[in-house]
Amino acid sequence: MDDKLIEGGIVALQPESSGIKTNRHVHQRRTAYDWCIDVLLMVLVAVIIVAVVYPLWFVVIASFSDQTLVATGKVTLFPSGFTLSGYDKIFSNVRVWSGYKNTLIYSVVGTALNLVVTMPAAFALSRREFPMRRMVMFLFTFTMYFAGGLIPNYVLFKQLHLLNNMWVFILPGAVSVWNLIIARSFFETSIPEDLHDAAQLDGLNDFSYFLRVVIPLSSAIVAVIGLYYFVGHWNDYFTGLIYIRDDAKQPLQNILQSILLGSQTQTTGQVTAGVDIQQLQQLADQIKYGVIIISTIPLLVLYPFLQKYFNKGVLIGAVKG
Amino acid sequence: MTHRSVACTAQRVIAMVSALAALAAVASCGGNSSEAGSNEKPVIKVLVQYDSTNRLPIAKNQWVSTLESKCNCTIQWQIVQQNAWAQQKSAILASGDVPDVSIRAFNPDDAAKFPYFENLKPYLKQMPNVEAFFKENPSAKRMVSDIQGNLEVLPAGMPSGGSNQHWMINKTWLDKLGLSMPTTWNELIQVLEAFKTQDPNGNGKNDEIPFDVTALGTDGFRWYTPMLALGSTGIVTQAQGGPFQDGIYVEKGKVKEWLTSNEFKQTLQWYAKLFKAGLIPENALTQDGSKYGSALTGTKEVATVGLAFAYQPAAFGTHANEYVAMPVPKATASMSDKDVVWDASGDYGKYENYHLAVKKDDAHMSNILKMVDALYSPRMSVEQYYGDIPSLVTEESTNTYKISDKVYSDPNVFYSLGPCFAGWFPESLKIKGDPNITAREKAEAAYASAYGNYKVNVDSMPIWVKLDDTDEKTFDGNNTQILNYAIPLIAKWMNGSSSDYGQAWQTYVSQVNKLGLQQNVKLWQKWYDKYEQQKV
Amino acid sequence: MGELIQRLVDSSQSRIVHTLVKSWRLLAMALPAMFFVGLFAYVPMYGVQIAFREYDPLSGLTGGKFIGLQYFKQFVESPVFWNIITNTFRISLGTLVLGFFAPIILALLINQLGSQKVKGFVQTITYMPHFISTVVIVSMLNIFLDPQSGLLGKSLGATSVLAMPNAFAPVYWISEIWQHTGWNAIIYLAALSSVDVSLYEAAKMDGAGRLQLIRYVDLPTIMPTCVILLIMNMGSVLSVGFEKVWLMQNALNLPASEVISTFTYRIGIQSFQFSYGTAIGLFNTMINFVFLIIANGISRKVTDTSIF
Repeated sequence: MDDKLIEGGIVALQPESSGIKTNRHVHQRRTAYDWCIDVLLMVLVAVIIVAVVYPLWFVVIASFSDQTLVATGKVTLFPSGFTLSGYDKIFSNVRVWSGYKNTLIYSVVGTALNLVVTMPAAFALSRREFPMRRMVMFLFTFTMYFAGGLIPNYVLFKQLHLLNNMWVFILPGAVSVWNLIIARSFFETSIPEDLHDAAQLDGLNDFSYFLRVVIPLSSAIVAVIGLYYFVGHWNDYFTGLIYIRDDAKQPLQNILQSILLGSQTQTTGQVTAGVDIQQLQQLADQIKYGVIIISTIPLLVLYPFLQKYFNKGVLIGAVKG
Repeated sequence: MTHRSVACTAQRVIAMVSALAALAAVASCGGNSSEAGSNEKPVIKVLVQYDSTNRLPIAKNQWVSTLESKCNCTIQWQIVQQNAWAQQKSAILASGDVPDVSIRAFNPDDAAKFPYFENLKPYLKQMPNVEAFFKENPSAKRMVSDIQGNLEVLPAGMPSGGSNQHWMINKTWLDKLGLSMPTTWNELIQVLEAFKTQDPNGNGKNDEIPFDVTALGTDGFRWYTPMLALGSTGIVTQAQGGPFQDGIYVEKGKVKEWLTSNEFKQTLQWYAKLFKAGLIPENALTQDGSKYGSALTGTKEVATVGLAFAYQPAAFGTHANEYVAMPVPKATASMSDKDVVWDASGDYGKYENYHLAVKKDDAHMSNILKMVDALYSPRMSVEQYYGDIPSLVTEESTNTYKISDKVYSDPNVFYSLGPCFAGWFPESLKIKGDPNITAREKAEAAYASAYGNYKVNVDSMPIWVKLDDTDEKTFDGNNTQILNYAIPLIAKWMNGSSSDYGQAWQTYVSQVNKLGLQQNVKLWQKWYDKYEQQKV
Repeated sequence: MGELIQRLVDSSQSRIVHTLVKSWRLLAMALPAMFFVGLFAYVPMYGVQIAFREYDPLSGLTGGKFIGLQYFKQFVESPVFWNIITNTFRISLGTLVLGFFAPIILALLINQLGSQKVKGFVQTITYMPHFISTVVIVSMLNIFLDPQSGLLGKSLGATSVLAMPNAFAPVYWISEIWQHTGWNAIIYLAALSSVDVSLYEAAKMDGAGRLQLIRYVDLPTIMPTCVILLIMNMGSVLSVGFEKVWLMQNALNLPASEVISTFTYRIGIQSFQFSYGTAIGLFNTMINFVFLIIANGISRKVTDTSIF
């Protein structure tokens, strides 16, 4: 039964996709114009790559260099005054590791909850028969621009016993309206209405249509939204800043910021016991570049795994299925 | 075929979700297990605000268990990082969610504005250690008491007094170039010129920074502000605290402002000269704190900074032994030696007014009082500051303690609370082996004569003078506007990009007065007088 | 029971019940999201009333004397008001415009690259800066723009660009573009990846060149996404991220760098004027919301795409 349904859904697309075969033979000549564009394209891309890569490369070489040379601008292309002392300090810092572990837990659990809550809602709101759809969407969108503010939030979290609790990283941000809207507009534009009609003919209800038809066709959007959420959790700094009072529960970003921002306090004047400021400063200088690298690598590793979904045509994937 | 793959995907999704749910359950169990242990003793929540980046977790200190047995309670520590405190403090104060005991968190201003803290005056009798502290240091007590003598916050008494603000100059360079210690601003310019041109660090490169200064902060003139140079003109600075940071000073019992003074103008003109001659880095006024801090340490091989404001030679890292404190130079050669003065904020450094507060009507008051008294005992003060006895500090006799080399062996590891402690060091206490104390005392010696040229609390704002809530609000409001307007202009005059002391200066003066500078002076005069008349 | 429901459905007066019964599954799917948003976004909204009250610690958030719009008046009449508004507009408008076009251009560009490997490589490289935290970005700006030692700063004259009020906004825009363009292009690339290959082939058959393919196939494909993102960004016309501006501020650039969020922070968080701080924040929100509504309305009329 289901096989038929999927094929039925695809049938509608057949006339267009049949073009693929015919066109194999019509390989057009590459004109000079095309060639010109290609060269231009390559140059442009090369410039962009250099502009993006150099500062990043700088972070890498700076993390291996003597910090005084970095601060005085003597490090440009390769590490100078090669040293591993920054990394040595990071790896021996207990707080960095506990932060790492916390961030990993918050991000994984948080993203899982995000997807479980967001995806069905985005689908439901993409259906025109959803009752009072525009009203509900407005109420969702409204919260992106209007919020009670820090203090009422704090009071609410206190009543819910979320203060100084790991769930404060996960529950309040269970839905990002932004991501919900993106997913919803994907469902609206990229899942053909024919599929829904065919599913209904087949007697599938909305639950099974969503789980068995829509989700398998939406790996790209699940990957994108999942990545967005994951990065959001990974870089979340504010939550730990306001609601956590225990170093053992702080995520990596806060540990990182307290190491890096320790240096800022001198200028913002929060320091009164200034005796060890400059020593803190030296520590921060030594490890800041290394910490960026260590904290960013997991995200860089994650991305290529998800990237294949972006390149895979969503409906084309279903045809091959 | 299609069907199977769809079903597979669905199964995979479900499997993944349930695995994650399981992970969440495990994680949450892990998070809660620490709170499970319960016993008869009351649980006291103690919040500490400090920078724990490179400190051992507080509960690992031995003295913590001593403290728990003294108060017969279980302590639940809450640690708030220094950089998170501004936000958390706001949320805590607005919602009234204050912990039982707060260390280094709320100051008397906060306590005056928000009715969440216990007045500790009636309880002093039950805390003999705190009483002894106040008896030996009456100004510390006045600092935290309001005009009626009530006090809701206890201060801390640091192991050594004196200002942390010093001119530090590279003595090795001076000697190498055969120069003597400059005594006037003009001589200082000549010395800095020599630093710039004669390659005093001998590495053949022109990498010397003759004089490095911190940026001007939009929140006032604070630690290491370049305006410490006002001391050369006879204005007593207080960079570590009080209204000096916002442009106000005291002379012979009269409150004045220095933001429009001739001395200030003179100082700006001198700085402009230095900037124009390239003796101060062009971008010094915009650099972030981290750059200032790391510039002071020079390179691995050589020192690169000639002169800077710092607390003691250790600020210069591995080249610390090249630096000494420079006595205050005179602004002009014609001035008398009696006219120069130096920063009077020593008491703000010795006593910090925000080190311990107790929640109002706390259910476990008697346990808390025992805890506070135990914290303020000399022995536990030493342990809080340096580390456990006997592993890090040796008790040689009742009042003599020797700090082990371990305490300062690694500048990136601190064992205990350090200056974030809640305690005090009596005069009778002898601390041996703390290099910071020795270094600071040595630096302070260079300023002895300048300190003798004015009367503390008559020519400077006493640490105990404070505004009441209403006046504080007015003052803060005026101040935000004044500084936001003035600082960019001041920076321009200072680095010489503007030298218009005619029309532009007049406009500036009338504008800051319009924004409330004179009103601020009056407010402080009012409260200065009120505290003068206060019976102690 | 079933009979009862059936009867309810049949009855013409109970259209609501009818809809509910018919689409309860859809409702159930949206329910968890509605619950979370209701609890964590709507419940705390009662707190905005302190903007209209004189905050009093004894009576908490909902007590305090009602003073109406006094704090709004105070803000609008304050001497810094126009300066702050102009700064905020300048910084956010530039970010919005550049931040809207740059990712679209980049996505179209990457999409033009022939080989999947090169595509993936360029994409991976360009999105990387997104993960760098603000603190680090700002310290990198300081290093690169240093007039004596910075790679860029050396060629930009003797005065640091970070000290020039006029340069503040451009430095902010450019660094934002540098950091987020690659990342924001991801969503467009995802949309582009769903283009039916046959469309390209058909267009080529009709003799369309590369640029025409972009014009007639790629652009229409990503247009709905573009519109949605534009509408949502419109709602942030008057909001500038706090942290970055705060860290980039210094004495010399302050005339151009004080924005609403930093001012709110100074008032509300640093000097505990909760009511005044909330009022300024609320003022900001109102203006953003007006922009959002306008953008949404125009878009619904013109392109038939809208958020609500």
